[in-house]
Amino acid sequence: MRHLLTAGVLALSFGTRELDGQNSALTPFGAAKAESILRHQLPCLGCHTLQNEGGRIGPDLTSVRERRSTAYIAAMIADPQRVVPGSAMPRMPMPEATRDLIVRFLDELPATAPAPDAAAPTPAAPAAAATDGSALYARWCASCHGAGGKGDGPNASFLPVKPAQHASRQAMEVRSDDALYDTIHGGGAIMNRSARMPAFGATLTDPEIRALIAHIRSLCNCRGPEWSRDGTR
Amino acid sequence: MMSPQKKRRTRKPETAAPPDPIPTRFTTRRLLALLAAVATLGVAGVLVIRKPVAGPPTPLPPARATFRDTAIAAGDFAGTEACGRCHAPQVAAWKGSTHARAGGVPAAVKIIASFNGAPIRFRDAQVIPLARDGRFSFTVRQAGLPDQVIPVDGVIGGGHMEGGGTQGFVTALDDGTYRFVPFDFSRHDGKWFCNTLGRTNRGWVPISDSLPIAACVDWPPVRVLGDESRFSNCMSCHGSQIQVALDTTAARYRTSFTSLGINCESCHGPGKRHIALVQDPAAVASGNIGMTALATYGKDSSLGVCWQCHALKDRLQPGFVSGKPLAAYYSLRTPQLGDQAYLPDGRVRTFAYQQGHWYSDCYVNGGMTCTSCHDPHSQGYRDVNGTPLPGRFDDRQCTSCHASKAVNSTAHTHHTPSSAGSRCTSCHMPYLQEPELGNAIRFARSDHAIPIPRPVFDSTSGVTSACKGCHADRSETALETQLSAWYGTIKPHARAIDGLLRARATSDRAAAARLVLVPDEKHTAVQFDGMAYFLERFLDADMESIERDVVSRLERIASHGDIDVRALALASLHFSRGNDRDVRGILIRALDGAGNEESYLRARWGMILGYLADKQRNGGNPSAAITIYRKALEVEPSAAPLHLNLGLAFAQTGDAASAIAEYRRSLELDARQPLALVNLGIALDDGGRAEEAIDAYRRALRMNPRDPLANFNLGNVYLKATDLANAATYYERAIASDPSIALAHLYLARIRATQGDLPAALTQVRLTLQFDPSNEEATALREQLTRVTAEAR
Repeated sequence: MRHLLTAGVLALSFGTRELDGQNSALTPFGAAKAESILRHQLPCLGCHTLQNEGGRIGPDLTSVRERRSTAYIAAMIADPQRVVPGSAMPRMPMPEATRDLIVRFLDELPATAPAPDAAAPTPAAPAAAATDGSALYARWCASCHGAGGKGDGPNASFLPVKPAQHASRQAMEVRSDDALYDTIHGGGAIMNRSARMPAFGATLTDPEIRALIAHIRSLCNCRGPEWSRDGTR
Repeated sequence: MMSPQKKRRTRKPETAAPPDPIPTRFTTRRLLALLAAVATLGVAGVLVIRKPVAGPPTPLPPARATFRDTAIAAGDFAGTEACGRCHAPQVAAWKGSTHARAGGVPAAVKIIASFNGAPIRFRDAQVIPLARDGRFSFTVRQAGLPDQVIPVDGVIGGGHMEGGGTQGFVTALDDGTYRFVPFDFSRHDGKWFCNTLGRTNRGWVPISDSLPIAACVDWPPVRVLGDESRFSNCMSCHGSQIQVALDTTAARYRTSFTSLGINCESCHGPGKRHIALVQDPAAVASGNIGMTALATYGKDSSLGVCWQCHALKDRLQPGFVSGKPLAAYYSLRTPQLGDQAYLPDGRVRTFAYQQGHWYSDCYVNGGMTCTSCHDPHSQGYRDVNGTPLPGRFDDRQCTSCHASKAVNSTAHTHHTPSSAGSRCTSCHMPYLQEPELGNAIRFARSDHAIPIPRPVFDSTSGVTSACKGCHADRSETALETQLSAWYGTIKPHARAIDGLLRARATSDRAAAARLVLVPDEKHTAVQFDGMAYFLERFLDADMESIERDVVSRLERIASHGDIDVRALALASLHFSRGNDRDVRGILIRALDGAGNEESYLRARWGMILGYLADKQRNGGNPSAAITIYRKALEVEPSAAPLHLNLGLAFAQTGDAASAIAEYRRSLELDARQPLALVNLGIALDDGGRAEEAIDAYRRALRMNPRDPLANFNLGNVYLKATDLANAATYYERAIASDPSIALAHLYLARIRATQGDLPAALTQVRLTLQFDPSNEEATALREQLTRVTAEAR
């Protein structure tokens, strides 16, 4: 049912869209550029696999073109919650040119393996109340950081950098609440940490991020450094 | 934009006239004091290496591979028009950028300075800037001298910069160089000004009728466009693909550039091959189209594109042009040696604000590059996700990362929303006057170290804190109290910064080592600065003893990932204990394991030792300098400039034979060095070998007939031989190339006086005093000439 509804939205919004009129195939140079950005700068492979590299939360991108239309891929990257309400995929702000390049790259990937099941992205956990940090954590964070915040979620072994251990007092007491807020909001890359950690700022609300921070503080049973406790943001 | 001279060092040959030798000052007393300090530490339980050094040290391994240059010629660049045929949107964006509008030929750029014929008045000269028929020129008028017309052949800058933009001018000389004219214009102040750094050292000052023209370091115009070792300058960046080199066959310099703006290929590298490849289906199919996508670069590689120009640099070898590996040509961290261009927290102590970024938390603990905020094509502003922003003060440059601060911004800023004081940049990136330039001409740049305001600390560091910048009426203590009331404990400095600050306050070498020689320090900029400070403050050449912990720390740092840091650690070990067998083992292993970075490592290591040697030589201690140059030559035995400088040190000790041998060795390694020939000539002449000296000077003049020092010294030989006619000829040639050689004017004055041409003698003696006002001999001669002239009337 949800799937049908999604298709309807797509038809309205993206059915006739062309990608900057760039209908010619990506050059190998363009493809290499897109792949480099995908592997090193964007968080996509935190959840998705591309040619056996990457997380296992979302569908494999290697064969996405065999399952999804160009318009669907573009729409999903642009605003996943709109395409699949309740999706586990956050919206990543990026320049339109970058998004178009990634879409074209995915749309033109040569088939390398039999396509797995054409499953739509599924929510990681049921929707949570904005103030329920524990439920929000389970929904958005636990698959990588682990349910108990030990950096051992089921997806962690597929990541090049071990996820932060929110249960570690030693690691967390040197990080201010604002730093946690900014990382959740802006993703790992802005903190010189793993670019595979997505930015949730376009997906989660301010109260939701604060609830997550409170939950992380309960996991480490610690507070941020003294200098950061001025109560201001 | 006109910039002051940035300092480069070491690998450039220096003086032509050797200074008088000064007795060695490294005394027994200092050595005893050093030993006493070490002995005290030994009692406290610090392990000290005190092994006597016996026998010759094991030689360092020879270089396995030399640097292979990437062959890039001026003809490999295609020009912006060619780029625009395929990349029209990017070129259109670039056209409005300050890069595109950074300069050009006078007819093609906007000139903000007034060329209306109104004279610029110096105390002893008038300069008339004039525009006529689309041509711009300066006419310099000085008493007793014919008018000198300096055509404007290039315009540098358009006064674009927010904190005070300037415009400067270059003129093409007969010797093939473009030289900076010393009359710059400040848009902010609406005044002509000049740079006095290197003369009266008052920074940038407005030109006025109390300022002598010789106070301007670029009078006469000596600073060339391009990076040429003979002329101290940083002007390879005020244009695109600027290359300058002495063509010894044509006996003149060759200067080439694509434009005096900053074009596509300044960042992307040469484009002609790319244009050919994209038209070759096989190349397109291979993915190799002769260009890399800068958007795929990681943090440091991306910064490296901008550092090509926006950084202080020490030159390792000549010939850099975009497309070549920057690290092969320049070291970006070594300018901190000696100059300490940056304060421990990255605030600019001298000049060049952009590199403060390396010290910012946004770089050290974040992912920030230049392009996080600056659009590389339009140079407009944007947020970290690439969303364009309307202006340079837009908070979203910061809050796209620091989202926590945007939720309730007033709770953080404590200033009225949308007031100037509430902007992120007002407190964290205030405009600070570049200290080296003084305060007379505004040249303030946004603080790219992005610090937290610390009014008291900032004040003691010589920096106007952001708070004080607006609230000038309040004391630093009051401002600090207010900050404490708002924020409680202020975030402490990063560990490395704190360590360096504390090391500067101790005289205990072992304690300082623990503070600044930290192998796993992630703040690389301050780590280098701390090591540089430690080397200069706590280490000496071939120390009798040193704490084992110091060696151990340096050994661990010697395998650091940053090539500058690694080279500094190795140079420090080599300098202080290089003859110790264990230390030598560290040095040998480092070279054995350097792999394809060996030439980069040796170039830096040798340059650092060369700098330490220069410091001794310039400090009047040539014997110590000789020891250190020999160490440098162990690392870089084929470095012609090191042999030349070693020769100068020998000359300073009075050992002419060794000096001559080193000059000749330098010339064997690089024959195209007129200055080495001049120094050879001086040494030969001092040894009474005038004919050979003349031959050396003439060889120099065959390479560059305008070489002022070759002409001057040849004049000296003839003067000594009382061949006044020939002496006068060569002095005049020297002055024609470089009128600032005061002694050439003085000797010419004497000759003219001897020949009875008193007015000419008086003119020359006045010119002597213009460039050397304290010259007593000239003063006496002027009085004598004035008296005789009066009596004759």
